[in-house]
Amino acid sequence: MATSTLGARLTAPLEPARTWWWRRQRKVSPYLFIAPFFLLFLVFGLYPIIYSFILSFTKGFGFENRTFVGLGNYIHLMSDPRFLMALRNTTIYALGSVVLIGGLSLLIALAINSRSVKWKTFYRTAFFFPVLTSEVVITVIAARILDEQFGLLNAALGWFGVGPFAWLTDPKLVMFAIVLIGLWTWTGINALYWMAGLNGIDEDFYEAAAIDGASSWQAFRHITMPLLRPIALFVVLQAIIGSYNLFALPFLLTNGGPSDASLTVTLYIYNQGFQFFNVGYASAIAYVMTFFLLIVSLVNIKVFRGRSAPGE
Amino acid sequence: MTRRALLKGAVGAGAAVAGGSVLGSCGQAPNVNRGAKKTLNFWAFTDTRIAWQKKAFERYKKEKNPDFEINWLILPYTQMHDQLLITAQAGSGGPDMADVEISQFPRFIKGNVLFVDLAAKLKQMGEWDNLYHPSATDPWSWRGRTYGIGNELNACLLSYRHDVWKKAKVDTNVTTWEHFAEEAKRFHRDTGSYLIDQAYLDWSQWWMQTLQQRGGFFRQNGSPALDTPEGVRTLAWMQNAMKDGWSTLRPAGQSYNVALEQGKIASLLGPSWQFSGFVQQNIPQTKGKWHLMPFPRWEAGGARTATWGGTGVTVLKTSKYAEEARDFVLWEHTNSQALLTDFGIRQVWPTYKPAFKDKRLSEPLPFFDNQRVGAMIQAVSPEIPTAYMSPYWPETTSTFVRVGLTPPMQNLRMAPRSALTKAQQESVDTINFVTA
Repeated sequence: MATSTLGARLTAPLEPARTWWWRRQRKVSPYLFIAPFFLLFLVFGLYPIIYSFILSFTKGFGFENRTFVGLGNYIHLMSDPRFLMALRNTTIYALGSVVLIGGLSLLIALAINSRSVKWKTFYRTAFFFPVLTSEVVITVIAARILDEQFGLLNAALGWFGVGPFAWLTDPKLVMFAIVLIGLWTWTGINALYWMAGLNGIDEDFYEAAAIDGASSWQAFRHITMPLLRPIALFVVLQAIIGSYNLFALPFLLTNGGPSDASLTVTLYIYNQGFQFFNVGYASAIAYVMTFFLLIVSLVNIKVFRGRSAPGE
Repeated sequence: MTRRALLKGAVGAGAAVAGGSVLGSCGQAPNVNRGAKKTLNFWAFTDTRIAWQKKAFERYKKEKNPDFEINWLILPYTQMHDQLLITAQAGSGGPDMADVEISQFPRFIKGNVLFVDLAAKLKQMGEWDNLYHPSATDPWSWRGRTYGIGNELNACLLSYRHDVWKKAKVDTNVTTWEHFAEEAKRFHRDTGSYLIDQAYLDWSQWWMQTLQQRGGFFRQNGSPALDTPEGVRTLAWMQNAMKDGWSTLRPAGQSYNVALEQGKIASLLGPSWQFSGFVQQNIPQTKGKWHLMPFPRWEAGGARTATWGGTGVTVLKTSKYAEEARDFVLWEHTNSQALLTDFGIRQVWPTYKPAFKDKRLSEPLPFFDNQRVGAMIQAVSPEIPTAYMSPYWPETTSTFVRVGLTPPMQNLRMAPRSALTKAQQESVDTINFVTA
């Protein structure tokens, strides 16, 4: 009792001032700490998003003296052959990414995850390495490899009596070449995602399956694949979103050519916005693509979450 | 707060950060701390191009004793032009002077022009007629005003491997493109190599050969002019070269350098930055094996040259010291000694006619087997045809390559006229979509 009275006496004179300042500070300081992010986001994130939406309903060069055209840009977009070409090319790359990169990376992950494989860390590092390399460097290397006359790829194919191919100048081959470069760049990181998923599967499932006499294929089909569904969703979504943002590679490698054969949607947005200074139309394309990707993402989520995995 | 005010603040802060970091890395104090003398800012995208201007400014200080200094800031090509456009639109935060590359200039004349007109002062100085205008001022001119000035005389010449030509007994007195084609056919038949290749993924070759006939991308009013008789004739000549099998499509990347080095392709077209720059930089081992000659003509009395490329120095309207900036820019481009510095650094011939009185510009050059290249450039430069500029340069040139040039060069059954008509129509449609 004596102690608490002493304590009360010692703290009593300070209490009113400290309480007011302390409470206020405790309430305000967290907001002050996070305020810089929100301020920057407001100026450089939210404001451009809203402003570009407004711009998408206008036309004119640059940002001054703009004319309101309602849905004019959006209507024009639907019949713009260049946009449709860009969408087609980007979709080819996206399909290539999902099917080839997704499939190959899963195979690699399964192989590395196998008990019989040694030097797993080395393989993980080796496959991850292209992700660390700048896209500009990758493009420079790829241009050398794909060179029609002196490229490594044509030289290798030549040993089998195939080619040479004009990988970067033949309109029929250029997107295939870009998918090939994407395959080299992104397979490793996707394999790591799959491996993270594989490591998360409880061994008990496989032991139970073995006791029940399941074959390796049956275990893969009925245990591994269903339990990898969340990873599959992530890999596919990321591949699709990444693909529709493809810019640096075709920009540096072919600048969208020949004759738009490797034009991608983001490259077209860049052309319209920064080369032609037609920012209203560029904004409209960006918003259509945002909406398109939203739909694709929702469909993916629906497909991959359609059936529950064992144990769920 | 208005959007312009917001942009001003953001751009000012950004430029301060960018400028500060660059200056900081150079160990220089910000100009505001340097005392009473004012400091002008110059933005460029390559250190080689401003090397001579730095030396010119040292000379300017000695001769004119100006009351300012210059901060030289180099940014990457795209970033510099983008930032220049943004700061100029915002109204502050940008430089007083800037290098603007020819293909970037149209972005700055869409709507309100952001540069100071230099023509009146040049005329007042009595220097207007002393310039080779197609290279000095035309690429930065629009609606009768001149917004930039270039020191690089981009008179185009035909560079050829004289060792290869001599061995194959090619006539070095080719006078017309028709004559050239005949020689090229024989050369290909005898050697399996090509006298010249065809650029089909960029507009360079079509542009030079069309401009040579007084054609080009635009009419005087800035509207596209792709399907003119001159343009169709050039494209037909290029396509026929492929049909007849005596030429080849330009190899991409390193293959092109190798083909030139091996003499598989034995000629190229272009101005000094091509034959003095590109060739000497990429295939230095061919030193002494090159000769230059004027372009073969298209018809009797026609021009023997064209112009291609260039970078001009501009003065920004937003500059506080626009008058000082303009005076220096015009001085350095009309001072023979200053311009000769650039010849020493980059082997660039000047656009200022009186500078050619100096014999150094016509001295024999070892890379070209001791030819007197300067004398040849001086001889053909008065023939450079006028090239009209337009705000729609990016739309027109990209449509031209995509629709008008590459398809008929890859598909030889496609008629040149129909390809160019299609490109013309698409260019007009693209422009109308934004401007109508």
